[in-house]
Amino acid sequence: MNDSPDSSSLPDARSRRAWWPGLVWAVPLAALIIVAYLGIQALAKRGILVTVTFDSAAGASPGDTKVVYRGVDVGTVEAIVPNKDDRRLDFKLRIDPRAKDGLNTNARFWLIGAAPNLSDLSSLKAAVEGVTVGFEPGTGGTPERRFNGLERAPIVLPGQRGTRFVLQARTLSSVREGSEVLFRGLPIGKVTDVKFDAERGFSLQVFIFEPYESLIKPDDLFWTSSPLQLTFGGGSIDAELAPLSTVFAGGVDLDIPAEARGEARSPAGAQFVLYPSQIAARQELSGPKVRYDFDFSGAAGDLAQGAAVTLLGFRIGEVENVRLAYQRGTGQPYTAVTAELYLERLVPGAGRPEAAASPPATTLKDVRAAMDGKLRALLRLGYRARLKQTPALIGARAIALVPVQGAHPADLVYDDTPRGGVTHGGAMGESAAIGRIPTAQGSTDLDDITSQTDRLLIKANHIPIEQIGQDLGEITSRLRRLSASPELAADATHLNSSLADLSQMLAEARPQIGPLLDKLNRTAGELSQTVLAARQLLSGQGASQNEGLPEAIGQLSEAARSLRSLADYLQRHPESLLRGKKPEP
Amino acid sequence: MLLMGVTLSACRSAPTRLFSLQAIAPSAAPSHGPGAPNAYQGPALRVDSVTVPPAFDRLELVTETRPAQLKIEDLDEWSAPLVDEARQTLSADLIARLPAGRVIFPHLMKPEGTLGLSVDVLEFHADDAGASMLASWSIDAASGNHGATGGTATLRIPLSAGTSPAMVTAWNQLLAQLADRIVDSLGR
Repeated sequence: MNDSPDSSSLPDARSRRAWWPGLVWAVPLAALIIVAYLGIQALAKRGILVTVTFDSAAGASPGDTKVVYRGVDVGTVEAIVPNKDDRRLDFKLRIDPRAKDGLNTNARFWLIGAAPNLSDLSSLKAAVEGVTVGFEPGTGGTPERRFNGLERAPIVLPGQRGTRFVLQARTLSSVREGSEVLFRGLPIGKVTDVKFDAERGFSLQVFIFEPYESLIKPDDLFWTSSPLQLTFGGGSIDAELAPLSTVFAGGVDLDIPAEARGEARSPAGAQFVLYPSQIAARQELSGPKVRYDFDFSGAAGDLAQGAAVTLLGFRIGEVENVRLAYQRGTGQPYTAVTAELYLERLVPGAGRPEAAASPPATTLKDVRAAMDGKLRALLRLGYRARLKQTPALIGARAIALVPVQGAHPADLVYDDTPRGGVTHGGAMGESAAIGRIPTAQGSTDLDDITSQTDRLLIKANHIPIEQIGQDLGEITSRLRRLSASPELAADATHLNSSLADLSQMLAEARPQIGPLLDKLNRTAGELSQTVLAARQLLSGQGASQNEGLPEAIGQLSEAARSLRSLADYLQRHPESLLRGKKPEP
Repeated sequence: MLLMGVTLSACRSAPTRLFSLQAIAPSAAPSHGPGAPNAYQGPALRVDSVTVPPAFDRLELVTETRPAQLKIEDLDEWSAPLVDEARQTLSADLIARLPAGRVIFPHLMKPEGTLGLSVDVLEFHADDAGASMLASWSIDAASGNHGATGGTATLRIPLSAGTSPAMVTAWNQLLAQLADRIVDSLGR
């Protein structure tokens, strides 16, 4: 700008060095610091990578599937890659660093929702929402980064305190892994494992939670809880439904019999029998047993192995063997039954030293002697073995020792001759003969019923049917004579007068009904006028300024109209939002 | 600074004009009926409702530039909804044409026996050829003893339309003519 040639008046430029490059560099520097901070923070929070091997992905997907610890997200599935064995899958999980302590050999991972199960409702939810990986931190193990995943939630979570016991069952019925163990309705444990052994049947691992393991005593009774219990008695039928979880997942009931109250608790791993029902548990069979034979002439082939032998409804033994046999010589077929009778049931207290008056039956010989003595006494009283069905005709067959009327005193039969060519193994390893308990003649229920029917027929034959017919004829003729008699006419007259009374009564009541109807009519009229007025008000006819409803409706439609107009205008002139309303060119 | 001023001024909307209908005295209207004041002595009546073609029933005035081609005048608005304006104006027209007390004001309660007048404007045109209106009215004889039940009229006026004020004039004059026709039908 200055055109002056006098260059000496121009100031000299001096360069100045400073360590600070200038204010403008503060911005990129600050950005760099922030980026570094975020990067370090992200690295610190990145989580720990662990590998869990599952049999199948079951719908899990990298990035989406979460790792959940008691309902809280603690990580995600980062990748799913085939395992080295080419049969299973490795889940790479990124776990929150705060869970680091729990990642040890005792930690458990499982897929929630991979196997929907009615006993685990959260698995049903997961089946709908997609699977998640469940995680339960372990305690006390050594640090570990590779795990084997479970296909479903562990029934007992690591860290849960309690004791394991074993139940032996012949049939499993509704009990499953995960079924609850209930003590009078209170869940105290769970069935954690079910194994089958050809010899001993099913062997169930049971985990009883602390502090309930003190309830487990050597004489405790376990039975499969039934979802529905029907009780007939006291003139009514009582139905009792088990807890819902038990209905779906099965359950094991537990009770402590009175004699077990004072016992010390069982050690871990103690074995118990799981009975199919409470009644079976109550009638548990234990102690020394002796074999006896029964010969039934009637049809007893469908007597099942394990069927009960009862005395007055108490279970004293069970059927071991049923077979078809023939009488030597005559060739007459019969059913040969071998059953085991239990000393403890037949002679209560005989096996217990403290309860028995006589010296306890400890040796096999003593046991047999005690049993024989009791049975002989019964037979002398007229007791015989008989086939029984409860309920009659359709129920399961059992053998009952029942008193038979008119039976002569009998005795146990010991004959060494093997019958029907069948040889027996001696009971309890004994080679001695097996005692035979005499059976009642016509020894099934059916035989009994047939004989009763016969008796009934004999009685029916004695009924004087002709005499009854004559009597009936006489009664009929008497009735006929009666209907023609003047007494009946008098009754009809009486009825007539009663009807007349009734109509008079109605006539008296009518004057009072009249005004009531009038009043009702008037009320109805008033109501209809009110409705009319309301309708007029709403339709705007006769509406005045003061009456608000039509006014309000009018205002509303007015507002709607304005909105519509605005929308309309904006649609045609969107630029008016910026530029305002302008006259069109 | 100048630029900002220009920008700001560009954001300003143009002013909106508001229009309202007005009654026209019988003498001023190009009447087709008898010029003398009507000597109607029947029951009182009230204008219950007036409806107009939906195309015209907007906040803004609608003009017809060519037959069947409408234009919304964005800067010209009715001061009240057109149906209300029309009801008010028609009432005023009738008051001017009927003896005192024969017309009940539109927002007053209808006394017993009052006639209710409903008007439906089916068509309205106002283009360069002139303005026209096809309207029908019916009288709801509340007491049930009056002969006049209604009628239909096609009304026409010469007009150079196309602008908002011209449209308002067309509405005013045609409503006044309609009032004449209604009064005529009452008088018969």
